Amino acid sequence: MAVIHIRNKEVQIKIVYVGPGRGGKTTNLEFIFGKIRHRILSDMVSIKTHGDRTLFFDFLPFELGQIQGYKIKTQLYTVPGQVKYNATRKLVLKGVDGIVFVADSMVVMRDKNITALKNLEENLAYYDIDLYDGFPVILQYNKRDLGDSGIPLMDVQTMNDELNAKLQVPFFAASATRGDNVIATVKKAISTTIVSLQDQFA
Amino acid sequence: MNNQTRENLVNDIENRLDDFFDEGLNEPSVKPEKVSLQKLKSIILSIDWEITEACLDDLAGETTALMPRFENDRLSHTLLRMLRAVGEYIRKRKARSHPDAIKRIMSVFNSLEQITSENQPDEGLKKIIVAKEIAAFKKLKENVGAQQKSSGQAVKATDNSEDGDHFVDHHKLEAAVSAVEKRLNSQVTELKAQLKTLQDELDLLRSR
Repeated sequence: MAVIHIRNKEVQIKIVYVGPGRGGKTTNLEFIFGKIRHRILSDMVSIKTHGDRTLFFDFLPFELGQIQGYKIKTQLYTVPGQVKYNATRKLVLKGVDGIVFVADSMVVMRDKNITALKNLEENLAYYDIDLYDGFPVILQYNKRDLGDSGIPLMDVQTMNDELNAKLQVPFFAASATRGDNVIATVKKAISTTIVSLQDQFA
Repeated sequence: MNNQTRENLVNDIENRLDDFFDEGLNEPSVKPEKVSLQKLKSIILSIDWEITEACLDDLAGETTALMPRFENDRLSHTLLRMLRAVGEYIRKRKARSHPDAIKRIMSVFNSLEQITSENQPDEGLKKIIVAKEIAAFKKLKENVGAQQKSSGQAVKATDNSEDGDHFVDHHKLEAAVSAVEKRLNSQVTELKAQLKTLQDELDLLRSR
């Protein structure tokens, strides 16, 4: 749940990047950090294993500036994607205000995307959040660039049919390594989350 | 919230986000060197997913292709040579490869990516990173040598022991058969003697 300081006119929102392991969640945050590092005071915190997998989470806090007189502080998190780290995923989702689901476009990752979305639904339910009841979610179909290397990818329509049929949320075809649609995704996630909070508290 | 208020809010948010994120849009987000590693990265990810002959061929081809581009960058060149060497080793040994070999490939590539990225560390830190990789590579070589030596000795020992076992088994079997034959013969002799005694007793009873 967002932290709102009425007296200080300050709102703190938490957006969590989730999705299957090796899907590109950390790469998303790294790209965002690379883009805004010259204008933020904070650093990106990553806790990784030796093999570069996210062990606990990545954390990127920054101040967005003022919107309608309120100072907006944004915290971006990722969770480890591997199935075995569900306790960590659940913990990081505590107090989440918005979600970016980073799906892997590779054909071989089809089942893992579906499993990860189901896992997200279960973990949010633990905090009494219904994924399918208007909760702010953005879908990102990542790794579109791998098609250039001849790696078989699912087409965007197929991914949308499988992951977004019930959600009906905004989605982006992206390449986190190239930065394609990474900023568009985070911008949409922040705006959708703020509007959702405004709906809740207005 | 009515539609007008919502629309105003959305406009304000979008303007703020545009200002915040798009200010440095013209700045290159990655250096050309990083772009040149993209193909290698996808090959490494493929190997992490499934080790195939095709992936290993691609790894050999891409590392060879990249080497001239890093000719003046001694540290990156060293890491590329390491990647190619470990890839060749896995291709030769296949499933018998040392389990740490794949970890080495991932680690060496991560280090290569780190020292050539936009936010690359200073020269001192780069040297430390590469030195760690060299040490780990040497350790892997030692482990591979030890593994091959011990597996060779194990095979030899197994062969000898199998021959010996055959020899021992053959003699044991002969002795056992011989013992059984002796025992059966003595039992037959004993039974014949008993039968003879019984026959004599029967003849005696009949004569009375």
